[in-house]
Amino acid sequence: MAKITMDGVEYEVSDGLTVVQASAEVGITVPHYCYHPELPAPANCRMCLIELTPPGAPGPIRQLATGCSTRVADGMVINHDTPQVKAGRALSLEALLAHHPLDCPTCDQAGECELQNFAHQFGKGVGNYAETKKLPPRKHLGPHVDIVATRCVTCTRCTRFTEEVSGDAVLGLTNRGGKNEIDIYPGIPLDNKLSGNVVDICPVGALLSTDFMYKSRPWFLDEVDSVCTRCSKGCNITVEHRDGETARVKPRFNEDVNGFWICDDGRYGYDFVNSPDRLRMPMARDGDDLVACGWSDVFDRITAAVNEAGGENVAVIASAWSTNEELHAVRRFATEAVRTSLVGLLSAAGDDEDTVYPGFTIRRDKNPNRTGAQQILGEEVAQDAAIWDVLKRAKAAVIFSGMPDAELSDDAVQALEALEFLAVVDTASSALTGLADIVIPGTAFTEKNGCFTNSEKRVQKLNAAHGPLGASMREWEFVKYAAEALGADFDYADEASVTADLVASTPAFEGVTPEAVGERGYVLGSGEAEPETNTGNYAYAKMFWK
Amino acid sequence: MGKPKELRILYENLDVPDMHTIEVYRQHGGYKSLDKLFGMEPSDLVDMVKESGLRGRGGAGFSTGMKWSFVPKDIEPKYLCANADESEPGTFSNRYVLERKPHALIEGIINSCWTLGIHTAYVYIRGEFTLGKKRLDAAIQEAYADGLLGEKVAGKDFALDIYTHAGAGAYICGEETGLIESLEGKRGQPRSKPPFPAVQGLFQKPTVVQNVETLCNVPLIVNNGVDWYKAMGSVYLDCPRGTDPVNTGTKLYCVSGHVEKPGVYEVEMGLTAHEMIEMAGGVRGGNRLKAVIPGGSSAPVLTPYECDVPLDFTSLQMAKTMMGAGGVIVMDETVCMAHALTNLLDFYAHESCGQCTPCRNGTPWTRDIAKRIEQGGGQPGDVDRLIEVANNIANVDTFTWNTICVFGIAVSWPAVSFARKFRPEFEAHIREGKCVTLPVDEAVTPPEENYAWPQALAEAAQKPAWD
Repeated sequence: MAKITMDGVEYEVSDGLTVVQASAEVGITVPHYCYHPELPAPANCRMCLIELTPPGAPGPIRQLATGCSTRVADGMVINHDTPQVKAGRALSLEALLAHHPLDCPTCDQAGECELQNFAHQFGKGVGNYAETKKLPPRKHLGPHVDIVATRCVTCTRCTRFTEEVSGDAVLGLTNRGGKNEIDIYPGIPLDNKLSGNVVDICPVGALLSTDFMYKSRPWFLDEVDSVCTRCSKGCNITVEHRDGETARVKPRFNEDVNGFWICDDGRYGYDFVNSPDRLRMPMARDGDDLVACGWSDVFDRITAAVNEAGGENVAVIASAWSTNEELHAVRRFATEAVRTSLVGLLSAAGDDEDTVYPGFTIRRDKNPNRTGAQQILGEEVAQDAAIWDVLKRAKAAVIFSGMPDAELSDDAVQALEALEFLAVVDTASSALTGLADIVIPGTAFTEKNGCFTNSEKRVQKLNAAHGPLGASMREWEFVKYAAEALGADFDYADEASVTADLVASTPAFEGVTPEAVGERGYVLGSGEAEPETNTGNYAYAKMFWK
Repeated sequence: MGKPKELRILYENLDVPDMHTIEVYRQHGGYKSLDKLFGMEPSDLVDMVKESGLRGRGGAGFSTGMKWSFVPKDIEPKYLCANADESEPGTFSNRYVLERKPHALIEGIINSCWTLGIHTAYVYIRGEFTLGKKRLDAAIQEAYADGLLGEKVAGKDFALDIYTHAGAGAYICGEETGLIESLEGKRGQPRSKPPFPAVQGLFQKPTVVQNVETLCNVPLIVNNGVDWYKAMGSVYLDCPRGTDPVNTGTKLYCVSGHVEKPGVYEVEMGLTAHEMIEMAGGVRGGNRLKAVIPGGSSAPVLTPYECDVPLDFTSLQMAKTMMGAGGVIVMDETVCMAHALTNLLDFYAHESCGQCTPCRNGTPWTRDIAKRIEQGGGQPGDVDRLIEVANNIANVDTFTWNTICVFGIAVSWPAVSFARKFRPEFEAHIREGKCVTLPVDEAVTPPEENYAWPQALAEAAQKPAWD
């Protein structure tokens, strides 16, 4: 810890922090645009000006220092509120706003814009600029990102992101001086898998997400903490939603998992949640058609099918997209209700290898919870193509999917068509539901509570942003009723009771409690929870990120 | 004192035919310093340069010996960058060194590198100096062939390589960290300091960046001794705390504008602006003098009332202007000061690297106001606004700035000084709604309005320490 004095008050802050971070740690907002803790600090926006007295110096240095490039040291004295500092920050703001079109009413960033925030808190309230404003054109930078260059403050966070994190350096500055503009090089679009992050790090309304454009004012959005489903990395995300629809997904800072970033697969991969193809009610096959039916029909037909085929001939295929709680309920369903040993794990096809960027890695396994499933169902559980062999030994099957865009191999179709009875739990019409006798509407990750275990064995919590769609119910509830119909008794009242049951019956999950999982997750077998923290980048992220 | 005369030590034999070749250079005493150099300890040489009072000729006038003493001894490699990106409007003295006497620079680099234990030097040459680069490249080849560069410099156990690099036409690459960035192959944008280049410079290694003229002075000091060097120029006894009183040696003054004989004049530091103009043949056509920019376009302008100031680092600093790189720009009575300022600010608006906010947006802003005034679109209060906007980039009164580099003050200095010292002419533009060139007496703000070269300081400046 370093002892520093800020605005006359002594504080103890973590070592090695920049003044911007240290100030955030103790709750002082230092305005800044160009600085980002994960990127080099060029000190170009000149907003985080501070009056600095280095340790041991008789008085403050005459020129103002920048809080982004100054690291705290024992005995340092910093002032944020001298007239010189206030004037310096206000003047930088005035210059930044000189060419700004002040088009907040039509700007997507309004409401979460650092120009608005800092102008309100640190600005002069008036601008004296009376000359002609620049009007650089709006441009498409890539499939997900547009630039409205009139609003750009040329902080170069985005160019540094592409240099340091995505590593392809596709963004750069063209021209010089007052004419400089962020742009791509001719014919090389910003289309790497991390491109959406430049929208997050853009402190103003210059870089905009084409996905979110004109969708909602940010202040109308509610948000919940969640975990990304698009690979086994388990990036921490915030799901922002409105009127029962997911509006966007943003990264949530977790130093141990994803830092400040997520990939575009995760960021834009929520679209299936809002798809018109989503299943809203259970359906039963009538010839070539699937027709809506009641829940009692579902349970009756499953019970009848299991009884007819004999429990040991029924395969239960769990999903690597299910939460640990769901997987636990499905495991009990298979062993206690259906009484079968034909269990498998359906998973989404992955890549051959991880996608590695200099500052971020996307995992090759495209399932959010394969690790959790292996711990709950056993390491030896049939996975990937092996599940079709399991199905070939069965007469009937209940398959949990929930994976968007899943494709079936010929082998799979053959195995499925040979079944006498097939019940499928899925979120939307799919190749699987096309072969099913009973289709049960499932929930998407934004609709359920529970936890995933990522490839590093970190258990992380996801929270429901909105309720199950239409007549659908959450998977654990469906399993509970289906089990009861088969004569088993699952004493589940809510997700928490499923979690408690999971932890009590699965040794690997020892120590998993809501407190231990917290915001940062809990590494299985680590024995101790990651403490909740409000230091360093966590403090920074809470103040300036999410 | 008598009439000041040219004293050519750096420019000695500059006009000798083929002086750019090693043969002729050697015939005229070139590379003689190396005999003495390799007989001396590097630490003694640093002390020698410090004692000589040599100040950096690039603009800031920082003590060269002092700068060299900051260079860490135990970190390898270290680099020397010779700054030949001479791009300050009104300066053109390094150019002649490169074109006519390139071996003087090489000799200076060898001297400096031996002193600092540096084995790699880069010469960053302004891209427009095509002949200079050609001559220097040829000279470097000659020096290699002659055993003055390479594995064993002059047969001694000391390796030195010199590389040249042509700039691509950016003024800001003359700023030392902008130069370093450019040399590394990046956009020429100055770095935030600290760390200073002496600690972390080129490729994050200790780096010394020196102007061509400074480097050329080093062999002269080594060759002729400190006392010989100190006998030239002036040292002031009586100047404010924090002001370096030492102005030894000669300076290459680049006199341009409305004089009869523009050109480079090498003289001992300390002659006044009036004397400099006299030396250059006086104001053209017997016209009246209207203004002098003493140190290149960034330096605050002097009115005719202030031209008694000696053109040296200390006096010009006390007169709230600067020596800069010695670009003396003379303007006669025909000049419209609003036009002259617009012209200057256009240059700065074009050359701002655009990295940091106050300069990126403030520089075109000052240009726009000045241009509006000049073209007759000025509004009442515009002169104050011009001063305010320029002071917001870098405050010339408190000498504080919020920009990364000193480009900011290089903009506000001319902007504020023009607007204050020639305020009546700017006001006339606004009043008349068109371009008006007032007679000198009317155009200049009366000197009693507290900007002129103060008499007390003028007297202090007349007292060189040894005489």
